[in-house]
Amino acid sequence: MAFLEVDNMSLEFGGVKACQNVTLKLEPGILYGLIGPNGAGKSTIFNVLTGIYPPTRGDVKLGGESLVGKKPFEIAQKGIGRTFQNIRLFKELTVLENVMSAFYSSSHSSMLDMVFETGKFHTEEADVRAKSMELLKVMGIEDLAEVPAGGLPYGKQRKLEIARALGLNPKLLLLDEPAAGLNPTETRELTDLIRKIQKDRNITVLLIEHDMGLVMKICEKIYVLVQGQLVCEGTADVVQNDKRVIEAYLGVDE
Amino acid sequence: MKNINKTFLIIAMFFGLAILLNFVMGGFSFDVASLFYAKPTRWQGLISPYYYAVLVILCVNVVLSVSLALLNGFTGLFTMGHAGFMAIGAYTSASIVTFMLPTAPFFIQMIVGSLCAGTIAALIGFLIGVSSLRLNGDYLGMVTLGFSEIIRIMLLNIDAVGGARGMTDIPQYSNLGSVLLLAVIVILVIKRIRDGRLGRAMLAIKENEMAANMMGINPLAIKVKAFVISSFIAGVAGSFFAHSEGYLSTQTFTFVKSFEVIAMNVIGGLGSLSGAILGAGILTVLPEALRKVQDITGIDLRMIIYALTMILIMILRPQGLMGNREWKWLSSK
Ligand SMILES: Nc1ncnc2c1ncn2[C@@H]1O[C@H](COP(=O)(O)OP(=O)(O)O)[C@@H](O)[C@H]1O
Ligand SMILES: [Mg+2]
Repeated sequence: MAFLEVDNMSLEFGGVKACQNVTLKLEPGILYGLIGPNGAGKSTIFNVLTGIYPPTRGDVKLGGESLVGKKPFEIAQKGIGRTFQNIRLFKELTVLENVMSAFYSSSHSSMLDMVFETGKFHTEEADVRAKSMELLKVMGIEDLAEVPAGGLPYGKQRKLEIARALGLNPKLLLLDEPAAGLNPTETRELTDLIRKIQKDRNITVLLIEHDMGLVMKICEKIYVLVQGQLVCEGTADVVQNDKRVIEAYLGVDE
Repeated sequence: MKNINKTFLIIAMFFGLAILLNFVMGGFSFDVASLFYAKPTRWQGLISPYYYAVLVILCVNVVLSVSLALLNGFTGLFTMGHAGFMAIGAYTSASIVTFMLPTAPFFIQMIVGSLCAGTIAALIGFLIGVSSLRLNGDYLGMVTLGFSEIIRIMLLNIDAVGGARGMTDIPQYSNLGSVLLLAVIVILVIKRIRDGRLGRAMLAIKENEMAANMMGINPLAIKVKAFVISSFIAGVAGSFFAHSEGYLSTQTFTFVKSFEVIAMNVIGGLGSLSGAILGAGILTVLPEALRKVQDITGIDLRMIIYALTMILIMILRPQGLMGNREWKWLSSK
């Protein structure tokens, strides 16, 4: 049984069939790619996985347990972290506080601990701070820790979103077009970083990306989605040479 | 450990000042506690009854403003019923102390009165929170406004608490010393909540609820917590207000009072604790200071100047006087 299973999942918005009978089986510790033209339903799959939309039909299971009907924050607590295609940072919080906020559900200071600033509060706070700093270092933005997140340049905001998602200590990390809007140098740098994080932490990553080169280079397995339907899955070689993909995706998009 | 010492240091400093003041006001005596309770006779040696009354209201307003800041400034919940929670606290405490503990020692009255006031206000805050926090922002404002007026009209019709005549002869154990101490404690408590994990979660929800969800934060639970804490404090503020004044009228707790507290937050700067304090200061002191102007000019320009000042601040500094900055002693570093 796979670690994350999306089983014949369909989602309709009124008449729009955003996803049709999508089936994914993700194994632990592997970097997956999810590609497809604009409007194919890629982000919608993420929104279903994270509980924002309940699927119209079908099921989503994490470690054998169905996630359908669970609240978004409950799913996040179970270990699914994500970033957003249109960045959603806590703009007025500092870069460091953004990451620290992801430790909310894994820390335990009570209100009295906070009000009396007890030893427990200080130990935990220092611990969360250190771990968050560590994540900022991983993403190479530790020198910006005290800057309000909204003031970061675009590329660094994308990195901060990844650092924040890692603060949840996720088993599955969903990255929605993390390289969108970056220049080629930044894209290459980020690609290597994603690969490294995935290997170092041995987590499962599902990466939505527009940049075909990026996906082909780092993903072990790629799913191709066209108009809400999976048309092909396999290694970069398989996908690149698949007729339907070339027609439906490369042909249309480039 | 270092910071527990800081808590004690602040309290010790406060009592140190109290002893000093005690000395200034009546020669040296060990009866320092009387600075914090009972009739303001001792204080009146130092300041005129007029300034005394203004300072008491100032402290109560600071407490109200700071507790509302937790809701609309930090958690992003726009409510319009703060006066309602204050009224619940004021009348609860006044009734319990007047009818059940009229002869108890002052500290028993103070502790039982303010805790009951806070608890009942928090309980009602909880019920309103749970039932209305699923609503989006504007509706929440309406519901809390309506609720607060309902409370007021109910109180107006209860004869036991004086009805339209108001409630008189409430034991006056509280005074400037105790409301000042209350204000200091409440400011510290709110600051520390803001700087802990709960405060970060509140700010995260205000900034982006969807992203907060994705970080494993349960927005509804945090909002209810904010609601309960804020109404508890408003209730306690009401209790101290009742026992400082010795008299309660439902006219004090109309929606005008709720709007006044919102204005304090907005003028100081939504999201800034320092701003909430500054706003309370300005909105309490400005109308009083303008009385003096009236004495000189002979015509009542108070409301005009007051309104113009508000408008000017909103035009020149729409983000409020403090924006989202903090004074050093209240900053999170
Ligand atoms: N909340 C929504 N309501 C209605 N339609 C939606 C909603 N979200 C997405 N869609 C539609 O679903 C389709 C897939 O969108 P999306 O998942 O964002 O595509 P992608 O991420 O692959 O570019 C699009 O046609 C989009 O308009
Ligand atoms: Mg998308």
